[in-house]
Amino acid sequence: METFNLILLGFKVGLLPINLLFCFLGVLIGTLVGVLPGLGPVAAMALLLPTTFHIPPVTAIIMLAGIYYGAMYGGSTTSILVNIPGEAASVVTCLDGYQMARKGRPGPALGMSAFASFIAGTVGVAILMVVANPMAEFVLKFGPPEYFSVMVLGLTLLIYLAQESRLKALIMACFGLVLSFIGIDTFTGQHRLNFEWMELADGVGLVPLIMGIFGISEVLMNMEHMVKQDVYEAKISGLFPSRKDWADSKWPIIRGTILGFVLGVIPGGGPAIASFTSYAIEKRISKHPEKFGTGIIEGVAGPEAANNSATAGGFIPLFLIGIPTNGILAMLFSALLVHGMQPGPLLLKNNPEIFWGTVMSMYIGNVMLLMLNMPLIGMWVKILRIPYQILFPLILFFCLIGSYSINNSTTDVTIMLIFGVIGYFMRKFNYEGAPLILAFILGPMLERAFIQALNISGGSYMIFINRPISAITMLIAVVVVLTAAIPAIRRGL
Amino acid sequence: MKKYDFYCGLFWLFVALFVSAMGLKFGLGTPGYPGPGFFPFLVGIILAGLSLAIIILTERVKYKDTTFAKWPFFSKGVFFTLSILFAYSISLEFIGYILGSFFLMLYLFKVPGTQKWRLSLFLSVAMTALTYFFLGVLLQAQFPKGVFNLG
Repeated sequence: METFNLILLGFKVGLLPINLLFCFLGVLIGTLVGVLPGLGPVAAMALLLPTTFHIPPVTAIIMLAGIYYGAMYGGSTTSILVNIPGEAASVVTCLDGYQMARKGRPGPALGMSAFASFIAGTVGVAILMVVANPMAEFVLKFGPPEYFSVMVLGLTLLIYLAQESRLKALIMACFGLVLSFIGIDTFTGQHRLNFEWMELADGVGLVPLIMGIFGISEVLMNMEHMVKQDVYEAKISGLFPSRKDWADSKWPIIRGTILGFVLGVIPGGGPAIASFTSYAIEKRISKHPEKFGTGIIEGVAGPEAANNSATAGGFIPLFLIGIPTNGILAMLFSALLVHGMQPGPLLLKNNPEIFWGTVMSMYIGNVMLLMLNMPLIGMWVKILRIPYQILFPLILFFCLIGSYSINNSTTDVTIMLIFGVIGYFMRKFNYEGAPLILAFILGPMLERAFIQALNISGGSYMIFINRPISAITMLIAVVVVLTAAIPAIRRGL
Repeated sequence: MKKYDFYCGLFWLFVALFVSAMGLKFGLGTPGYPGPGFFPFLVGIILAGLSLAIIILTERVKYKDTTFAKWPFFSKGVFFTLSILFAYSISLEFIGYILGSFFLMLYLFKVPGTQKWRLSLFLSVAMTALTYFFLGVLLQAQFPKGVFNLG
């Protein structure tokens, strides 16, 4: 009954005209960002974050969340029509989606992508609604030792799931922690690593960091190889998949939805890993695996369902525990903090309209996306034809003024550019940005929880083992580390 | 692993030693009551271990990989553009938003963007004006006026 009342509250908030407008803006911008290569949802959210200072918190979160799942829809359009993924989560859609376009079936590919995303997104939101309250009650039992253990597990899983080298992912995590120490220590008031430079007294800003690492560096990389888009030329018609398409896609959508949601909850998981894993599983269990990559609908339906379901799954650790599981959710986390909200179980207790309003707006947003993506395909195709030589100056400029407008300070712009250079070299030398960002966000919370736990226990480390939730979480983290380390040691490192 | 990973390892080792040294300077406290330097020192030690691992691994694969010595491609144009961006950032308060942004956009469209003069000028003026109106006027963002007091 309580959940039902909260759902009604959520709809009441989500259906407010201002929230409907900003939800629409968010999904439209998200789709546009997903369509355009070179500007991912992280950079887009970072750019738009300063503009949300003048709107209510729930409206801001609704818009930014809309950008997140909107980008998942948009990324598949460019994958299918141009064979260039607009988003990391849409890389896999290129494999069969573009081949379907080449065979003269771009319409069903685009249509199934939209429908699979809608179904999975809606089911994901429904699961989120069901688990929210029980999970919040459970997390209220967490104290500093539990938070510390969960964050350690989160970082460990993120590194374990790293797509490139785990050793490099660990280094990035350490570097992120080092960056998080910059500023005044909250316990002693001592300046740490900022060399008493007052501009860095509050530490490195998350927005300039993310915009530099993800936005600026992406543009710099793309500048070296100006991408010529070979857009599908013929008229796109027949957007509705056939009965056979639905029959073939039914189980991939169901599997993708469940898999995506679970992977969305896990730190280091998220839409990209969900879509890759879904594709791999569908190919493995298919009766005709040799057809994958030649243009079959299952290769589009499963991954698209997985990546949208993962977006809903990611909101569980973000809102209920206060731990973002990927860079995009880190931006939402930052937005919540900027608007004076502390993510965690108390957010649901004290500000239920934020969580439930956002969740309900995701339902509404999914409907808007289905309506946007079907009739507006022609418009997205026209946008895809804008040369990158015109797009990248705009992207760079928006990054610059976006970072300036946070604090009206050129220091933030300089910091963003410095991280742009670092991000550029990171990409060249195959270092991933996600472990750095997550460790940067978790670093202060990790240190705080650790010290608070020791204060509670009077300096005894046994507190991390004596409390059951903390002990189990630590044990899982140890198992994950051993699972990765033992094979590496056997291979002779 | 490639040759450049060896130099990356050396870089990370330097960072690790620096951070550990700073951690010692801040004060480690006691194991039961950590000081402000405890975590930096701990992370520095872990990072030192990881960077040594990278260095050792790089040495091991040195003769096994025929592409070991291959470096990634770096474009001079990117570094020049970065210099312009840094110059924009440093001079923004002095030149002002309108002039600074106009010249920056003109450079970006014309040089790395390789657009014609007319289009570059048009887009530069349009973007500067639109962003100033939307952010500066509507959203009241405080853009610098510079020594020419424009805006």
